Amino acid sequence: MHWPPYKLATRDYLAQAQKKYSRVERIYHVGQHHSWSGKDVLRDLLRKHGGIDLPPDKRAALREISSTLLWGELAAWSISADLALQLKTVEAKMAATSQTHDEARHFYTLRDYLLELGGELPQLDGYSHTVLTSILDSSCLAEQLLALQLIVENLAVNTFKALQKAQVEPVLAELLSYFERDEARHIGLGVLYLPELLEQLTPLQAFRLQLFQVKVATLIGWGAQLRRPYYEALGIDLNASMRRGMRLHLEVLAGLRSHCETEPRAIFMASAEQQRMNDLSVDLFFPRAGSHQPQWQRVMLGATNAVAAVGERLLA
Amino acid sequence: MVHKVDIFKNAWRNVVAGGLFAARGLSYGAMLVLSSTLGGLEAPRPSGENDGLEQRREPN
Ligand SMILES: [Fe+2]
Ligand SMILES: [Fe+2]
Repeated sequence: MHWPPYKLATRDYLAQAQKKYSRVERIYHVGQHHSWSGKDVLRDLLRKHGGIDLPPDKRAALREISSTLLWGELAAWSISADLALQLKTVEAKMAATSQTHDEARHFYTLRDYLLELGGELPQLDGYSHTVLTSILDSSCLAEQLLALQLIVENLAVNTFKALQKAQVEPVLAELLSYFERDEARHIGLGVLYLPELLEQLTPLQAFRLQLFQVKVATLIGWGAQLRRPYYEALGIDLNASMRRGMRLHLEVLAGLRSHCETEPRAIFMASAEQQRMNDLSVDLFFPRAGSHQPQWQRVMLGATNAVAAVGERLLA
Repeated sequence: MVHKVDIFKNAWRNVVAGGLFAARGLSYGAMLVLSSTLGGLEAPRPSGENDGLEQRREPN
């Protein structure tokens, strides 16, 4: 491979790239404009709310959920650095570099918050660990971009929203709104740039990408079931949260589709029928908080909870 | 790729993920059959109800 790629500084190439990728490059500039100091923001919020006020049982549940968020931020940091290194298009490289800067800030800010919360941070459960290491280990850029930007980032934003809606703790709620603005840009990189990577996939790579999506979605579903008690302890209605998460995901996919010239390959686009099936499965496996369940459903939930625990041990 | 991949561990995880996928599908099917024969399921919540998406994230 020739290095440096001299064409990157030629006027013709630049004019073409600008036409095609100006919105991807904007992610970098907007990121710089909205950059914030985690140290300052956390200190000010702690002062404003007089520290963290939360009963011990909720603290424990919050640590369980935050462990996934914290190590998720570290994984996103590494994966976005990997993308910044490997993506060839300068504008996408800039967006990934900006994301790397954001994820570093998310990691240290959330770590500092959790130190302030106190207690020992639990280790990752087998599901979260497998999802994150699968993306870290992947050598396929499309897999990384899809799973990190479009699935995991989206899941993180949805968890942030759930924690805010349940008004678990005011310092965290305000802190997460800073995170959320950054994550929206990271999702933007996936939406804008993934179509280009999808076009380059061979049929075999496209098939593997589909399997990868099924794997990640399956593990996320079982992981949510395993951690259900922690969500409940924090007053989060997992039924509403999962439905919202699916809607967010579908919106992201609709955005992706609008940037593709032809129907995007290798991505599962849910039809109206599949969406109904998704909603029904959420109602079956994650019944609304406080709702009455018939006997057969309670038995089935008991059985699937047991499967969730066994799966976790097999993966750990 | 950030760290060295353990091929065997990876294959094992894929097997477990495959089993979990099948288990989800089977239990979903069983629940559908049970709900149509035994019933008693609460009326589903209309999708989009009060899910907080009205405060959309800023397209910044
Ligand atoms: Fe992040
Ligand atoms: Fe992110």
